[in-house]
Amino acid sequence: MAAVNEAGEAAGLWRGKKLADSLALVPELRTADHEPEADASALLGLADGCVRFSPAVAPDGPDGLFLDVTGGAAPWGGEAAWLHDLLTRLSRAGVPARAAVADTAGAAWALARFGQADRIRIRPGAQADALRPLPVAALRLPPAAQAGLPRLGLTTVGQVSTLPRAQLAKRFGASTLLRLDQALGTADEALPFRRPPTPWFERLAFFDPLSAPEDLRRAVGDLLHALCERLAAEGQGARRFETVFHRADGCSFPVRIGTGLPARDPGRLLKLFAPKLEVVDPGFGVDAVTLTADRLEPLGERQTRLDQETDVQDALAALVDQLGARLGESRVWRAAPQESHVPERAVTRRPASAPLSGFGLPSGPGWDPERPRPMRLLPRPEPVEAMAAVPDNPPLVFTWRGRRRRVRRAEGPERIAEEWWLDAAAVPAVNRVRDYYAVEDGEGERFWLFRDGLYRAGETPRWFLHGLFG
Amino acid sequence: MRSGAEHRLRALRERLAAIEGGKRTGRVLPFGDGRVDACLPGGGLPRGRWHEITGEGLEQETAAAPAAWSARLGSRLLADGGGEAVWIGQSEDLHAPGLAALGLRPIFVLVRNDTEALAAAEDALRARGVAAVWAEVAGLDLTAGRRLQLACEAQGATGFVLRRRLWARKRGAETGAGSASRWRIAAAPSNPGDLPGLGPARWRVWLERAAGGRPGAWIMEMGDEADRIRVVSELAADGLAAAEPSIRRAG
Repeated sequence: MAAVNEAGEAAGLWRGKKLADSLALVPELRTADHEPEADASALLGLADGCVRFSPAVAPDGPDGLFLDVTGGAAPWGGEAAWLHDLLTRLSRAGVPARAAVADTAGAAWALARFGQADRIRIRPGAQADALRPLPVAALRLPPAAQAGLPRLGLTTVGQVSTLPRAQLAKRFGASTLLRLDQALGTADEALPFRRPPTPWFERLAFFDPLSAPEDLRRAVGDLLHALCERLAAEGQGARRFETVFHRADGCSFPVRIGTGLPARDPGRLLKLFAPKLEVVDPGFGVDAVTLTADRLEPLGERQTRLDQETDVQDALAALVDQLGARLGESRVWRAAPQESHVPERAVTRRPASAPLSGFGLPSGPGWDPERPRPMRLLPRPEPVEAMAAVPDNPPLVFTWRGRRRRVRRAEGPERIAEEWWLDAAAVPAVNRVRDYYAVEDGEGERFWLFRDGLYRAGETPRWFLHGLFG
Repeated sequence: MRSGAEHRLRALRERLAAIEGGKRTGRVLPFGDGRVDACLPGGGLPRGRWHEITGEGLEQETAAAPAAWSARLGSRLLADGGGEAVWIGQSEDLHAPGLAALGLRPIFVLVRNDTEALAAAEDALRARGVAAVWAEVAGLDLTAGRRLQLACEAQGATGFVLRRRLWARKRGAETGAGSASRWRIAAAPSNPGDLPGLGPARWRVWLERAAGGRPGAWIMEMGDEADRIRVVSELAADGLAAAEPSIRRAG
């Protein structure tokens, strides 16, 4: 049995007991299959939900969470109130939990699991005293040490901590010593936080849950204002902002925006958030909103009126961000050449707010002007029925989309070998070659046609239409 | 006396144009050929306004010729005054190398429908540093047209609305409501002379409507870096080129 609820414990069952024994003891026992993966993902979900309490949350083992509350409890009016709010919310969400606040992660871990009460808060620096009476299991020791210490008559943390350190390390390994030091605060511990702890975090909690869209918007505006003021004071701008709406029912809705250039103008950022806020479902109400800034870059005081160039660049960046926020960032781009012979791969997309000096300008590196390229390139080449006098020549007549066209003039061929080496599944073959022709019909319409493969006697060449010149 | 009358007539025309066009920036992009410029108010394509461009036949769907012609025209507009180009489309078939060959390296924006396209066009037209905006839409109504016009006036950017009927979708409203001019573009056979291969691309160009101007039809040809678009000849009413194919330089 991987877990037992309170009623089960009252009936004398415990975690790790055999199911057959348990059923013999409690015939009416109801069981469910253990799903460790579902448990783990639920724990991660809970970790994300706890972001309202701290920007830094780390899942721990199968059933624990670390929250970094350093300096973050002030909005609640102190750590005691913070702890109370945390546990109240968890129990309301149907998660029975114990929690402890201490100087070190190790001490908090020990007290939350082996302490006398459900909620424990110890004074700064008091962890040594608080840990002394706890069993050695509270130290998160390696299994060998955990089994070995009691055999020596050492059952409490206090007894272990009085042992000579050198002997302890020799007997039970350096990690035993490290765990002890981490609990007492003489060694540092790195926690795998879900988000890196960031000072660029703002939070608003509401006594009455919000649900009107304009209220949500105002909340985000207030948060942006506060955060941007701090960014300005430090001469910083950020390129990623995330706001999370924590609903009363425990769900949370993250909304992210990105900017091409570092920004800290609350009005502009709110405009980027605005279209995304419309789809936030407030449910029965949102009772906390958080805002985090990420990807910080130095951003000097703007000299908008003096520097016309920067001004125009900023305006363009603002446009790109605005369109990207509304349509999706991948839907706004600049095209840049890519080293490839195949027309489909000759273009790569770059962020549109990249500095203008590079690929954006007509003077930047471009595609070979000597090779004619169509205005419209069909997403996939469309087969056409074509008749050529000589197989090696451009067609005389072809039919595309039900219309027969007589070729009046033609240019080509431009031979392009497909890059079979990029496609692992493809077998290099002679006919992986395309001969492209630019042809003009009687009306003057221009098409980009290619013949698939080299001409070989006895085979009908296949023709495709790939683009329109216009 | 004749010159005095002409002078008064011109002053009257200007006043009329001012009334018709509302707030007018007054800047134009001349074609550099009297036969075309005479049809346009102020002697050229008005800048700071938006222009509607359609295709013919299958081109109503593929919109290659209207795109090519307007790109060539737009590249001249950018060469003369600078600024960025933004091209808003609903399909990903626009080929950047082809566009670059016409002298345009725009910011591409991919949208899902006409509403998004027009909203994006408005934003782009209002942005500083943007000189020309293309939007491919099936249709637009009077309100959308007026909104576009207001956006054009914000910074003096020029808009090109390409009417395009994608994926057998129903063609939108037929009115070119609020546009400064409406053009219809189709391909025309090129004339490489005695040389083999293709000559410079040619278009049959109909100016169907111009606020403060009058309709016309011409054959135009892709020119080199210096003139970009040349007017080859006038087009007779039946769509055939008039006899004389003399080439005049434009712009």
